[in-house]
Amino acid sequence: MPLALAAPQLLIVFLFFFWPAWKAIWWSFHLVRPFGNGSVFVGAENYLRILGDESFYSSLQATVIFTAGSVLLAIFIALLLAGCVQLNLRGRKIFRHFFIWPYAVAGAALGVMLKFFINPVLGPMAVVNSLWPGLWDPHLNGSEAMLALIFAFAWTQVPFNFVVFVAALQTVPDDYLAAAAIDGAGPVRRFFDIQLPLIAPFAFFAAVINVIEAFTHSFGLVDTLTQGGPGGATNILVYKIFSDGFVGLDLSGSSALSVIMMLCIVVLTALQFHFFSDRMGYER
Amino acid sequence: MKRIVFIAGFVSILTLTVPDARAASFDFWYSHTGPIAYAIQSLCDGFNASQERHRVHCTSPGTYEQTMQKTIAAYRAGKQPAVVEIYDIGTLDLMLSNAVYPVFQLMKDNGRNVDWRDYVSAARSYYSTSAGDLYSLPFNTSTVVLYTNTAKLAAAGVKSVPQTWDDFEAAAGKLKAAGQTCPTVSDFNPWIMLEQINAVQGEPLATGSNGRAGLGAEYIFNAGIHRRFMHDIMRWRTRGLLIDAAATRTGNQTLAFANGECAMVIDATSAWGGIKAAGIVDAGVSLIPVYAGTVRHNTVTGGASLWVMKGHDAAIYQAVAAFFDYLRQPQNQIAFAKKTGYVPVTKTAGRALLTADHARIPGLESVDVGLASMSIAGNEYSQGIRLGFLPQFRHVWTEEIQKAFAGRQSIDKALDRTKVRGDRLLRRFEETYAGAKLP
Repeated sequence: MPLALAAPQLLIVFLFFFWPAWKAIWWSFHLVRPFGNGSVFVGAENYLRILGDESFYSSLQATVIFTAGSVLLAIFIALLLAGCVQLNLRGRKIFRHFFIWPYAVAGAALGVMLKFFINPVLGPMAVVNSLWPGLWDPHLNGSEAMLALIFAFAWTQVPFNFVVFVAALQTVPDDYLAAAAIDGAGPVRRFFDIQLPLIAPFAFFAAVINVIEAFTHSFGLVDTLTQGGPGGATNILVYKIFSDGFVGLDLSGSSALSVIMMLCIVVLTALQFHFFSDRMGYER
Repeated sequence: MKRIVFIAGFVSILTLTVPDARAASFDFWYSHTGPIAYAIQSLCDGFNASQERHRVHCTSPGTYEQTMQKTIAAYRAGKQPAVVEIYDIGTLDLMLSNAVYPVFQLMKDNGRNVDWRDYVSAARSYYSTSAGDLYSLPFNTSTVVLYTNTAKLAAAGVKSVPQTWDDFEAAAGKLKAAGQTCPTVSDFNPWIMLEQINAVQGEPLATGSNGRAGLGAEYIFNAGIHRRFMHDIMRWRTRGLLIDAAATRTGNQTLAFANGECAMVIDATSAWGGIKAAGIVDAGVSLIPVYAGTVRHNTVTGGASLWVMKGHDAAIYQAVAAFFDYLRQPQNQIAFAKKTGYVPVTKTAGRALLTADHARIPGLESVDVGLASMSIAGNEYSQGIRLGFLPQFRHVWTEEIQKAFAGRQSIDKALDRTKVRGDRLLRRFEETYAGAKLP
């Protein structure tokens, strides 16, 4: 009976996760012809080729920069906003709604809007160029394109983090804050000494979710905003997997790459849990 | 007697309602939206209206890339359409796929007599086997032409349209001196900058007749005319004669020319529709420049062709053959060309377009010039390429060139690295298709 109840969910997980994952692993050890009329077993050759290819390392580097940058930024901004809302400001309920809304915006839609925003000739950023010609040039300058991508992705993650942090801050007992206030601690001091340590597990949770999102769900944004360019500067792994596999029809190489990315996520998550979860035994 | 009448009536009703066993309907996937999609839909409607027996259902799964992906997925699932429009760079994959019913065979098997020599040579050679048999039907064929804003050129004192790259640079210089901020524009597409430039000069991209001799080819473009051309490109960029499409108001080279921001652009003949729609009246069209003192060859085709997928009934293929016959008719090709700027694929249709009373229809200049450009005699290097993982190779080229544009490496280094990375792709493709033979 329990199995029967779980079956629909199990079936979905099997169809949309285990089956494709298994397929990817199988393909990654073969050279696959796109139309499926033959494949050759090549062992670990696909992996060795990727590990010996500098474009993989530049893609990995871009992924790390993008993930670290956008996750830190998303957590920082969300924490700041949540902290502000937590203060007894007039209209905090309205602000709370405003900050949650952007979560409903799809990555691809945001990318299309931001494409206009970062346009060096037309958009709001063009003002920079009218002050200093050639300063803002994201279609040529890889760092600027990456910066735009980091801001864009952080923007999509802030609402989620914000919800988490607002909820987390509400779990902090009022007595502690009141006691601290009586002792003369101001709001900033109270935030850093009481609230922040107590919500650290929530921040950790948000960070893990953000990292996984940055690895996997940033695709729509990259596709609409930079297409991995210029010069491969924003060609993060998930986009490389797409362009190699779906546009380039290199199914084996793309599969091997996605297995590597899957392993990265597993290792990253395991490491984070290992290092952080033990030290955060807050009221469990 | 009554009974006989009844039976006769019943039988006649039966024969009326039971459909003709040979009649068939089939799916045709195309890869366009907007005006081109409308033009294709009207071809489909025209076919369905032209006869009673067969029906074609035309749908678009998306862009060229998406159509290719979905065709592969559909084929692997056994749900492939009978006819699919695949872009030029998918040719080699389709040829080696073993999933395709060659067009020349299809027409022969269904008793359709086609004079294949009537097809424009550049389009025919691009999609044909080494024996010269067409594997897919050239459909929406386009090539590169030079668009010039004649009023701006005249105002800047440029007397004639540039014929050579020296003329081109001089004209751009005069435009710049006359205050034109964007003399020429480009989105640095390898289809134009690498494949077309090498074809029109008759210079090799790769050994073995650009891969037509077999899968063992190796890239050699980095030593030839392409290196000279890319050095010119770098100079034009630094002098402000050539502007990045991304740095224009629309971010699109065709639109940047169409809205008058830029005075010259090298673009596909099929860009003409957009340019006309934008209302520009001073647009002139001519052959793309070549280097002084060299022989001009034909430019190669772009766009897409129609592939027939295996795995359907004979009746379906009969319907497909009828549809292809319909598409081949000059009046249908001309109607399609007028709506889209694509070039007619048969010489008969091309001649009809150029010589008949509707020859000087305004807005068809790009078709005239494109047809002329593809009809010039060529050599083995202007016949179309057979290089594996071509979409990925184009991506590599773009990536390395962008790094050179950003000043992170020299243009020579960019080309050499593209060659090395491209050769790796070719070897991998060769390995993937080990034992397969090019048709």
